[in-house]
Amino acid sequence: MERSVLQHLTPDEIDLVLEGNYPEVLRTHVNACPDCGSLLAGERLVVQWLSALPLHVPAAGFEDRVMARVQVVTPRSALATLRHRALATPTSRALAAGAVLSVLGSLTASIVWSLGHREVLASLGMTALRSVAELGWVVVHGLATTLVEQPWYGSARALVDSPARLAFVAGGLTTAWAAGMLLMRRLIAIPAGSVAHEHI
Amino acid sequence: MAERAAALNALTDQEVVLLARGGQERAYRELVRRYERPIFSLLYRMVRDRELAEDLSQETFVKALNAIESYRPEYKFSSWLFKIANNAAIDHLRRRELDTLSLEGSPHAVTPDAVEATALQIGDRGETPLDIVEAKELGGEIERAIAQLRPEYRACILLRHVDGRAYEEIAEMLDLPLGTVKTYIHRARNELRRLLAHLKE
Repeated sequence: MERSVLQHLTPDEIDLVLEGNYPEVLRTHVNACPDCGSLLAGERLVVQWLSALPLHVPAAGFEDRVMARVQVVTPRSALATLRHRALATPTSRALAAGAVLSVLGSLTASIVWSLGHREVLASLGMTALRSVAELGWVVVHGLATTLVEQPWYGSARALVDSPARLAFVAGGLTTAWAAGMLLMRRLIAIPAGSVAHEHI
Repeated sequence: MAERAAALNALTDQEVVLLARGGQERAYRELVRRYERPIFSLLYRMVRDRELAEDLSQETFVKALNAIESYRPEYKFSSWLFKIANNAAIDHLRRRELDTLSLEGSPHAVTPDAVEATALQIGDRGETPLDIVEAKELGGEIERAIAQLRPEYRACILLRHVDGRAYEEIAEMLDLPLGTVKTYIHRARNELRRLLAHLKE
């Protein structure tokens, strides 16, 4: 519907002008109508005054007072946030559903394949077990050979070749171990009394 | 330290909120720093009591930041925060029935009797000589005129012309129909024009 230049400004039209849109038909009317001209000038002034109002500032330490009452979220709750974000928009929901479906799909496919190829799986398992056993034997054999070839091996063996000597060496080692443990406990014990500067 | 603060400055509200959700206290502080003045200003102008405005501002931030996980990123963080602040102010004003009522009666009154019945006088704020001197200045006059508006009008006009919010955003913040927001703002401007007419000369 065409707007007549004789019609006074409506509230919506005043808003339009205050926002900076001033169609010719409104301008023509305002120029010819003292009531609308005065109304618009008054509204402009009010808006100008309001937009020039300064911001008030809270008392110093406001931020700290707020933070003293705020519980910062923990990484555990971040997991909940991740779930919340995944469900926030249709796109994120679709992506999350796609990821879950692909994981579930691949799991199902592998189970189905395994059930249908048990003999292949058993043969693969046996081969892997045999390889691990062979590797273990090679390592143990290598270590034993290295040990026997050491120059001190003969005297070390002579040290424990009778039950009396073996008991003597075992006793000495046990005593050394117990003394070491006692020393360590004393070193790492938490002091029971007050600590200097603890209130600083 | 300064570099980290500067880095946070460059982030959008949504990004800072994500950091806060990740457990970073400095992100919480950044959100408080960004909005402490606008929120405090709105609440101060709503309740006209500095201490009370500070309490309500604190409540607003504590409530919002403790519920940061329930904030939905598709909405503007500032709208969410202003909504909480406005609700706090309106609840408080309703409880205390402060001297914040319009001379023109309820905006919902339809008959002249209802308008008269709901029309209330502006109460005495116990003004000090300093208040009167301040009120003689332009800013003080405008603040006083705003204080005389109905709380609903006041919230709308402050959000629109002081904070520069869009009508749709205000409607969403205040849970009001768009048409009602426009009407309130229009009536508030009319009332302010009348209250401040003497300043035009």
